[in-house]
Amino acid sequence: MVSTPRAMGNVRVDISDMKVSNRVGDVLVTYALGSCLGVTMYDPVVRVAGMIHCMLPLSKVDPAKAAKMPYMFVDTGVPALFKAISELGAQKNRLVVKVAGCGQILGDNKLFKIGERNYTVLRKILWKNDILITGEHVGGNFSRTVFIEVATGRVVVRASGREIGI
Amino acid sequence: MNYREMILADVKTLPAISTAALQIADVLKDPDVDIKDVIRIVEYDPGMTANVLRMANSSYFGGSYHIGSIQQAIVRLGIDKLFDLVAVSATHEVIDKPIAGYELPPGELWYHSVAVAITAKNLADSLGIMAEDTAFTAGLLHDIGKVVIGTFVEKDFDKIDATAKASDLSFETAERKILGIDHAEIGYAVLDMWKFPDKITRAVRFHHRPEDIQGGAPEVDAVHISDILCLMMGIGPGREGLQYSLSEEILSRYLLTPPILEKIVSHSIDDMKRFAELFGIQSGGDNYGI
Repeated sequence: MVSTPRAMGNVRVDISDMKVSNRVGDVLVTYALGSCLGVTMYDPVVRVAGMIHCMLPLSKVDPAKAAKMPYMFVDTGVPALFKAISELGAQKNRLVVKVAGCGQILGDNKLFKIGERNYTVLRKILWKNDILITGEHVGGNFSRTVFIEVATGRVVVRASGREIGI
Repeated sequence: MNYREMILADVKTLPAISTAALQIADVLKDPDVDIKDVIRIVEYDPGMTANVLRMANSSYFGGSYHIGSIQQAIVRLGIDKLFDLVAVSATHEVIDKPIAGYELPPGELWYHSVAVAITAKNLADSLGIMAEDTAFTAGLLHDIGKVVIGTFVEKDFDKIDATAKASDLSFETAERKILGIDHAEIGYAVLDMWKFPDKITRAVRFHHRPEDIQGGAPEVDAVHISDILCLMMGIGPGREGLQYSLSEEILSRYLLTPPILEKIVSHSIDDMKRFAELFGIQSGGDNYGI
């Protein structure tokens, strides 16, 4: 059993939202990732953490919305997270990247696998940037809540009443 | 008394809701409805009037100039939208509470309900399906049965969950197997008790199995699709997670493709946030059980 990080300052990452922090007391948290994608990035040297909660894979379905809300889409949100975290001193070659979410509903509807497509788009972006995923808790019919502790980079996923460190 | 009867008996313990919503639903059945009657019914309830005006002046409705009376609200927004707002105001207190069993924290079922209402309306609008007048309210009320059945689900959650997982059943199908009734049918019983219009009670009853309605019903389809979309987007999934399914038959009926649905989702999320702000709620929270 992994204890859920609780900190003085829980920083909430909403749907289609992104947060970065270098305050050691902070815990970034996002609630109820269904088919949405949650990505955490952490640079252990400068102790900078970032988290994003993207709803949809590709911004081309709604470019106007993407201009206004880039974090909604994986292809515009994840690059924005790279940028924001580098501005706090994080370096790409030190980044620890973890992924959660990308769940799916029942059935085998190929038309409608938003979670899987979110994950695929992320993999492509990370591959282009030469970054590996260090830990993940993805897929299945779950909804998940994710925490990252700025002080340690520890990531905990809560799903179906259980807590798992990834 | 079997389980099903016990759960149905609990429906009667729900508080009565403002009669204004039901009276309006009733007078709106008349195609030659007199607007003065509608105004009189709403204004008879000062709390309802204040709520409706607050919503009518919110950024969700554009809010370009101030709406100071129910009459102005009808002129600016139309009678159907007024009914939506009356339904929101009448049911807010019943739905906006923590839900046992599904482990939804305070506000989450309300946010999910509002989100499905808005998405169902946007879906109906953008597909041109003739459900504009009922999609919103049917979406708002689709999960009201969870308020009643939640404590029973809590007791038997493990059994229901195991039954669903063992045979890849959707959660509400497993509810029927274990409890003899599911949240959709309980919702129907609640709304039937409150004498909501048939179109709305039917949409609530069949929101997880829209293909069971012969000939189809657009408002049911709109609520079904929107419910699943909102759960996928993480708005209101409970401890049972995403153990629900989306009807292939309905998707193909409207030739729905991922880009169309994704665009509707991306548009609806803004509307949801603006509407939810009116009630000071957001999705998720520290008490989120999942």
